Amino acid sequence: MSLALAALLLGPALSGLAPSSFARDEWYDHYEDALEALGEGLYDQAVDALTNALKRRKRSGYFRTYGNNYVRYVPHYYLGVAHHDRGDCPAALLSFARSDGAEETGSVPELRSRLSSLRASCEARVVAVDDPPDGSGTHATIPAQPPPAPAPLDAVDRGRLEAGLRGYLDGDFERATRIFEELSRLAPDSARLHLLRAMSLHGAWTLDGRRDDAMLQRIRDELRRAARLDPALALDPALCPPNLVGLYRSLR
Amino acid sequence: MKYRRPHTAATVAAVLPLLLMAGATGVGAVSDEEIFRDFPFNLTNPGARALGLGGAFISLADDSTAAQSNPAGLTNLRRPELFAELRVRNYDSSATSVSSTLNGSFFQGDVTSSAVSQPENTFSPSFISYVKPFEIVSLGFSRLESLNIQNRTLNTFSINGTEAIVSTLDGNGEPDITGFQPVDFELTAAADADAVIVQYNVALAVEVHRRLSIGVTGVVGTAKIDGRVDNMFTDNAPGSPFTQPTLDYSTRIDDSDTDIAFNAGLIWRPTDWASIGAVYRQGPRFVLEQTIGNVGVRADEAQEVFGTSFDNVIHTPDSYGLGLAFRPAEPWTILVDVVQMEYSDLMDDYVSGLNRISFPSNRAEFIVDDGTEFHLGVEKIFLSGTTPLALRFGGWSDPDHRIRAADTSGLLEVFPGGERVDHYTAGFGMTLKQAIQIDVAVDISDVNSNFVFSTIYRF
Repeated sequence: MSLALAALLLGPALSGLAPSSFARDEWYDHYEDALEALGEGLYDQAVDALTNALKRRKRSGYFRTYGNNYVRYVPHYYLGVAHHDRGDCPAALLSFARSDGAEETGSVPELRSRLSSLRASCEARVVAVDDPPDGSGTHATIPAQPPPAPAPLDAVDRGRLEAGLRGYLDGDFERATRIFEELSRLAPDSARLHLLRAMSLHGAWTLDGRRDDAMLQRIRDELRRAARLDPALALDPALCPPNLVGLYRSLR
Repeated sequence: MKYRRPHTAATVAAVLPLLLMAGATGVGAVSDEEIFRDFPFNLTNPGARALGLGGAFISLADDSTAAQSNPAGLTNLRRPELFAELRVRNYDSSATSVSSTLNGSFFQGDVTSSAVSQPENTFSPSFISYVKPFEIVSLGFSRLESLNIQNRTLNTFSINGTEAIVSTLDGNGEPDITGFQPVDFELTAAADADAVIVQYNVALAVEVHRRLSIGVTGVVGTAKIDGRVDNMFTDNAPGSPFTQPTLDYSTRIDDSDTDIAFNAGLIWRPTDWASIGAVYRQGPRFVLEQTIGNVGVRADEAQEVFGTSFDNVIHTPDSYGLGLAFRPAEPWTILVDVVQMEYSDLMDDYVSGLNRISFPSNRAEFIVDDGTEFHLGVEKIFLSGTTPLALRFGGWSDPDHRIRAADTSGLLEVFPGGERVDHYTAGFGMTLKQAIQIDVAVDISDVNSNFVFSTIYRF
């Protein structure tokens, strides 16, 4: 009996051994944390948790967690929701595009409907031209129908520019970066083209989990060039992700 | 008046080889009386899911039955769970009868032995548990019914012939047969017993590392037995005053006891698709008072040997096991368990000499061997829309654990060992709305069958 009592006391002792900072680290743990954070309006936490979940399970679908429990795993959809709710429309649109690519919401009408609604909301914000009262138009906005761009953008093919913008909005950052680089060669003194390159590179870097230091350096270089070419250039927070805006401000 | 049949013992010994006992399906304990040899302990892992998997669950244990199967598995849970199991135990009533004609030195005549066992089929909530997981610690509370039996047995031995009259030993130490006398008597043992053993468990599990969990369960066991055995005899020989069934001696148990024990286990997950588990389960040990009745022709002799009362011990066997689970592909799970059962624990303070045949020799030796169980199970998950459906098949091999007479006791023919019994299992389960899991399973063997329904509600 004394052995049994020792075993009963062993339990609480064992609980003290476990490191307090240790958290459960399965993909579904991070996923559940993300959904909980979303419900509480903690969007940054939700994004981090979903990013961690994606590191452990990239594929979307309906998967077993433990026992005979299954969960619908649609991380890109919820990433889009989190980005949308915290005002990062380009990231939201990117995530929604990824969600479509992974066919996350195809068989779930309520998710599909919500995704469509949120995407439309983001696209509306993206295409809205932010005209300041003084008409200076210094904000870097991406209009759906690009107005005549001031020089030196006048030198570039507007069709190619729109293609690059479409690629960015569709989440195809590789294509967008390629187009903006091509256009930059034609208009190397265009601050906005360097900014667009920085934005598309930033989108790809974010999608890759923000692990590529070399790409981050390229982003910084593009932002510096843009700031050098147009010191008055300001990033529109409604269009650019907050951490890109913050990065740009830190480099100026 | 004290009546003695001086040659009864010799006659019985002569016919021993032909006396068959009722088939014992359980592990037996308490004493060598027949009613107690049929105690079917529920020592397998609880839950219809585990049963459908051939009882192999040590290395998986990923639901709230882990408190019993392997407490380390409680760390698998992420949401509180309430679990309940209903078990239908279908015991076949058995009746065996053997008749033979003997022509030996001490006895010539006919011998008939019959045994009837009538256990009642039971239907009860055999396992209930609640588990509350925290960040890296999980706590579980459960109740396990490890024994619930209501049984009636009747063993009858009829002996009709002539027996030798042996009064002395000759100069060579051999019995001096001075004549023969007719014998016509019947020995019966009528017994009934209600026995319930329940364990109340508190389990704690810790995830010490993402791939390693350990757990411990504190067990408070309670046992209650209400039983009686009336040993009768009838002597139809000419001049016998016992031509009607007469009480020879009787025993009673109406007692309960409590003991504390523990289980401990660990699960190691070297990869995402494999896990290894180990568990040790300490069986509670109960001491119950059994009394010898004051009434009966040989009640005095029985009390002289055993006292007016004595302690009878039920020591549920300790066990330790090792398990392996792996998922060759997402919907498949294959499990293998090997469990060593220390059935020899049943011989703790075992009381012999109360059986109709062995009475009154309490020096008769009985033994039971430890045994190894092998469990194998396979589960496949299908998705019907978003509803997971599980099909399970398995089997397990139950070693012989019948308490038998030691070879030197001369009673081996009467109390023989048993055989390894193979069980075949199948099960089905579904999970609804990620909150309610329903499982059913059946376990079939030559000895008995079990049907289990279990359900889990996740909060």
